[in-house]
Order: sequence, then C-alpha cells, then structure tokens
Amino acid sequence: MIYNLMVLAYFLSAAAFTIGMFLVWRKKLKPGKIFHVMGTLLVAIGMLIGAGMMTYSWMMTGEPPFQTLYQSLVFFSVSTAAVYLVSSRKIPIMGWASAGFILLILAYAYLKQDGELTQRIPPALQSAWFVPHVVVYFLGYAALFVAFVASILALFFPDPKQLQEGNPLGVAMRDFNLFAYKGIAFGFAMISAGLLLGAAWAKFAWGDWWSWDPKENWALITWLIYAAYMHLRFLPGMSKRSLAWFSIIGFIAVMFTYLGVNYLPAAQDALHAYQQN
Amino acid sequence: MKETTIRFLHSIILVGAVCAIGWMADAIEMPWVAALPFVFLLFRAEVRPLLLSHQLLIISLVVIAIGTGVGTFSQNSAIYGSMWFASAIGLLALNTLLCVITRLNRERFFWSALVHTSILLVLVGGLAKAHWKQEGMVNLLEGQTGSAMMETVMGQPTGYQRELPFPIRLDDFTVEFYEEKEEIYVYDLNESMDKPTATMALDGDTAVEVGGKRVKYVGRKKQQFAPAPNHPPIEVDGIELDVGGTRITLPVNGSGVREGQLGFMFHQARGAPKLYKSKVSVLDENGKVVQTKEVVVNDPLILDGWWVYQSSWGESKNGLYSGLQFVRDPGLPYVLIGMTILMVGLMVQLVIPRRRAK
Repeated sequence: MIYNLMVLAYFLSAAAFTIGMFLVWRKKLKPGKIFHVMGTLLVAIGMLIGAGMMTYSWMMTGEPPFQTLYQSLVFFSVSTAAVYLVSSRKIPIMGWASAGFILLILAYAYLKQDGELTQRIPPALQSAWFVPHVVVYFLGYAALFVAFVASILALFFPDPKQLQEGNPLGVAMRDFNLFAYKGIAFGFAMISAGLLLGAAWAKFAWGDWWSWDPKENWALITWLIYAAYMHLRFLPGMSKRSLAWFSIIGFIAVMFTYLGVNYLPAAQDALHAYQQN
Repeated sequence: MKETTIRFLHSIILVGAVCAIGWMADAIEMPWVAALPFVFLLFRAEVRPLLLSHQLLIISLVVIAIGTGVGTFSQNSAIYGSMWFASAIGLLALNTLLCVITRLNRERFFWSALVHTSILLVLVGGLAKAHWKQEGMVNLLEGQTGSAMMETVMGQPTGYQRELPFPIRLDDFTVEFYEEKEEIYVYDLNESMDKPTATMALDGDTAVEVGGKRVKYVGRKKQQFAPAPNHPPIEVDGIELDVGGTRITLPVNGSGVREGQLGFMFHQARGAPKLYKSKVSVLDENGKVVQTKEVVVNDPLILDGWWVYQSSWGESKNGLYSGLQFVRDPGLPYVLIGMTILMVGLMVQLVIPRRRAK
C-alpha cells in the first residue's frame, strides 16, 4: 500500500513534468510554473515515503535496511530523488529523467520484493562499516546518474549558445558538460570513499582488503572509467562529445556493477551476493 | 594529425609492447623479464613526455579495466596474477610517480600530488601483499591447542602445513542461529513429486493456489499418527490446512500427506548462522597464556603483524569446531596509510574550488 503510494507519487511527478514541458513547448505556459513545481514536490513526497519505509523497516527489525536487493533498490530511489532535489530541481528534463529512472528502479524492486520482513543478517554484514559503505555508494551512483543524463543532453546540445530562453526542457544557456563534470566530481569522490570503506571493511571481515571478487572488480572498473574521465578533461583538444560518451559508458558500468554482476557465473559464490529471502 | 591523437597512438603502442613482454615473461616462466622495459624506459629521457602524459594514463586505465572485466567472466581467472596485467599496473604506477615528482614543487597541486601519492602507496602495499602475504587455516575443537596451520593462497589450500606464529588454544566456541524457518511445501503431483510447486508460510494470512485448489493454513493441531503398519497410533504435533474447503492435518515429523492430486510436507530448516565466536588464548613456548580474546567475524585478533579471524565453523563427530584464519600482510600499513590519505585528499579536493573546469 505504502509502496504503491510511493510509485504513484513518482508516476504523477513524471506526468506533471511531461505535461509541463509539453505546454511550454506549445507556448501555453511559461517555464518553471505550476507543473514543474508539482513534479518537484511529488519527487520530494516519493522520497519521503521511501525514506519513511526504510526507517520503519530499520526500527522494526533493528537492522539497516540495505541487505536485500529490494531494500537497496528502494534506497537507490531515495538517493536519486535526493540528488535531483539538491542538484537539478530547476531543470524539468532532469526531473522527468529522475522520476522515470526511479519508476524503473521501483518496477525492478517490485519484482524482487522480499517475502517477509524478518531479516537474517549474516555475521560478515554485522559491522559498523556496512552503513557508510552503502550510503556513500548510493549517493555516488545517484550523482553519476544525474551526470549521465547531463551527458546525453550534452550530446544533443553541445553548444550552450544554441539553447534559447524558454526552452521547454528547461535547459536554456546551460553547459551540460560542466554540469556532468560537477556530478562526476562528487560521484567519483563518493564511489572512491565507498571503495575504500569497503576495502577496509573487507580486511576486518574477510582477511583481505582486495579479493578480486566480481563485485569488487566491477566497482574497480567503474572507478577506473571515471578516473580516466577526470583526467581526460585536462587533455588539450579533447572533444566534449568524447567526454560525454565516457560519462555514459561509466554509468552503464555502474549499472552493471550494481545489478549485472549478480548474473555472472563467477558471482555465484561471490562475497557480495545479496541476501535472498 | 593532432598531437593529442599521436600521443594516444604512441601510448597504445607502448602499453601494448610492455604488456606483450609481460605476457612473454609468463610464457617463458621468467617473471623478471617483465621488469626490463621499465628499466629501459626510466633511463630514456626522450620517452619522458610520453611516460608523463595523460594519454598513457588513460590507455593504462582502460587496459587495466578491460583485463579486470574479462577476468570476471570466468571463475578463478589467471589474469589477476599474470605479468601482462601487472605490467599495465606498473605503467600506471610509473606514470603516476613521474606526475607526482614533477608536481611536488608546485604549491597549487599539493592536494592533487597527495592523492596521487596515496594511490602509489596502495599499489606498493598491493605489490608487497602479492609477494609476501602469508595465510593459513586451522580448525580447533574446544580445549584444543593449535600449533600448525594448513597454508592457503587466496583462500585455496596449497597442501602444505606451516607452523603457527604462536600456539593458540580454543577456550570456548559458540554458534548462534537465527530462528528456525518453518514452511509447508505444496506439490502438484501431476507436475512434480520432487520439487514443491509452492511454499507456504505458517500464518493465517497466506494462501496459495495449486492445481486449481486454494490452500490455507488454519492452525496447529494434535493428531494420531501410525509410524508403521500395525503400529499403535501415537499423538504427534500437526498442522491443520484448508485445502479447497477440506480440512487435513499434516504431521510435523516430515511425513507427507496426500489430498487428491496435491501433496503436502512440513519443512523445517535451521536458520542461518547469526554469530559465531571463539574465545582464544595465545600461548608462549612454555604454555603460559600471553593474551586472550573473543574473536568474532569483523573483530580479529591482531598480534605481531598477524591477524587471526573467525573464518568458518563446522561439525565433526567430536562436536563443533571453529575455523580460524591466520593472515600476515606486510603491505597492509602502506595500504592503510594510502587509503586514509586518499580519502582525506579526495574530500578536500571536493570542497576546494575546482581548477580548469571546462
């Protein structure tokens, strides 16, 4: 019931952004008006419902609600909404993309939902490193998603000068490469912190700070791609298109690290498998 | 052709050549051969601009990323221990080192130089770990003292036995489990007799639909049960189910019950381990207790550079045994210092004004 309310909030939010952008395009409405405000508010409501669900689960079970894939997906939706609200709430297309992406996340979460509330947290996860490791990673992933959307927009609008005031997407005079860079700078710091916290935790739990576990490896690959992006920016003559493509590939690697790795044959007995209920 | 592109091409050739020599070093079983190109490169001033370049860094990062990715598609991949992979990491380290050296005297690059130095420290720690890490496993019953361990490499036993760095006695061992899981397996016998068609929790709210019939848990009920033909019935605990309007009682002793085309079985499984802890005493050569500690997962015993972990547990005919893992990693201090500086440096870089943002 609560879950459905959350989905409804994001669905209405996506609808509000769509209608708002359509009306601006047809010149029936000025940018930043009622539909945009409604869409943003609905994202905030969805985020609060998600955060409330997680807090309730934490209070009921006494365990951090990040252990199962379903729980992590709900947290991913919360972090994506939070990063949108902090970084790009004035840009309708970002709101639309964030609400749409969150709906995809929640649809997948619905398929993977837990059968029961009772958690059986394994000994290795009973650690003070667990919560900061997960929280910084998902904040990082959410920032990298915003950068991913900005990079797609950068491919379509490489020159900020071509974007006029009153643009229906709300992207007037915005340099999306710079916007993506800021998202990646924050996201990269977060995924670096997540990687380091994970390594330190692994030393205490499993005896080694690096075990070449599939999830670790893909987290490293993601980090390497964004590390390359951070340095590519300083190359003279580097095209903005190449930068945008690096960011897009980086986010595909993020998604594979998060969801795809579990399907690798080498991940069947890996250390990072999500709990199954 | 643009200078940037030419340098990219040169970087691809350099990384390709160095990795090829690394691969050859493995093939001829002479790992030291992989170090030769690095010695050569260090003393050739004309390649210095290429070694310092962002292009070389990016190509090295991409090659390491590809190698790491390919390795995840097979179990126990040999890539991570191969010399060509190590050579790519070596080029990355060399590039980073030269960048740090050239930037150290420039004040505005202080945090950047610090972050890159920390990465070098982590790589040095990783190298030390690869060469000098020692690890092993010992299984102990309560009251037993261990003096030897089975040597392992990356968790896999080598078949060799090694002396423990210090004798260790298991004083007490406890395993706690989560509550037992109880559920009912429902079989549609027309479909499968081996695999349950549905599983049902023991609560009044859950119902499953199998073979066109609605099955619902009613409650617990005592029942008469004959364990064998001609055996007088005994009273056992049972579970009452509603199967499409018909009430049946299912014994909890694991025996199945059939109702039409449906089969039912009560299933009880021990919960997953919640906690396992070993109270251990470290002994000196005279058998005197030097240190005691309760070792649990996430809280190892640390002594003389050795980390002793609660790693596993098992049951033998003599009772529960505790699996303790011994690890000594001489590279760990470098890694921990490097990781701490890296974390601080990244956070500081995040908050100071950005340079050269396009």
